Amino acid sequence: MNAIVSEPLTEPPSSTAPRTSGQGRNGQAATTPGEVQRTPGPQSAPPRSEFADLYNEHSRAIYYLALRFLSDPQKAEDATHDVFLKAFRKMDQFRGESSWRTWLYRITINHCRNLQQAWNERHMFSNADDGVFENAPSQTDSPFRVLETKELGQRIQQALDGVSAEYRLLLLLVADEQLSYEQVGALTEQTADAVRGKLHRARKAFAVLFQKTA
Amino acid sequence: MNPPKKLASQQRTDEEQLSARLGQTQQAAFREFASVEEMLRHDAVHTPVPPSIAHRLRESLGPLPPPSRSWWRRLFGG
Repeated sequence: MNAIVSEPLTEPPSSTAPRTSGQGRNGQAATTPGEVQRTPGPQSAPPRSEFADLYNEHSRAIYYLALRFLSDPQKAEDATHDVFLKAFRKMDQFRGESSWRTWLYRITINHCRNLQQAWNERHMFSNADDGVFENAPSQTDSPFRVLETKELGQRIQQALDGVSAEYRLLLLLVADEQLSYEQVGALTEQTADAVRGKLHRARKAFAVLFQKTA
Repeated sequence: MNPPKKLASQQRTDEEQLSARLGQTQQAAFREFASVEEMLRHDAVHTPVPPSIAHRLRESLGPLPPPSRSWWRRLFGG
């Protein structure tokens, strides 16, 4: 195939990628004037170049979610490949009811959960008990002052590995500014209020564990 | 006279190591993150996507036909 994923496929999207749908968490419009909303329509590009755009715009977010959720670079690479392959095959089913980002996240979450479930069944894995962090002192409300080294990613991974899969997923999704709490709630099958409530505990659990990695 | 030479050499090595460590400390900058989410965003921006994913996708998608147009796109002429 010549150019399903046209060059430059791996060029990372800017960290301030345009919001695609919904409402931002800070009340900003999800799509600011002048930005191109990626809802399909008569002006949509041909499917293959559209797919390349999709990859270029969202591969970083998808890979990052898979990496930090699965805690394994090789599995994350395989998962990202599989997610985009599924997305390519199912592009005709996308009806623009959600943003592309949300749609891709949904595929990623399902894929990663299936992988985790299969792994857990083999290893009798039990999730971390987040309750133990409730009374632990932490710096949740104060800034994290950390030495910016290449080990930062490893420390983050260690802390994420220590919280439950639910909290890990919440933290990773909420960190994406393109998603509103409503969208995070839809992706994790709960209300936006429930997301807000759990988020506080998730931050605290993460903070306690992150401090221990120093 | 061997021991003093050894001592001087050892001292130089220690100084070099200390200097190297100091240099590393000075190069490494502290960064403050207001929240967990901000730290995760920073981490995400600095986590490169392996180029091999794109290569593998090209190979995987090669034999596949392009995705068909959805019913609503056919209906509305997209």
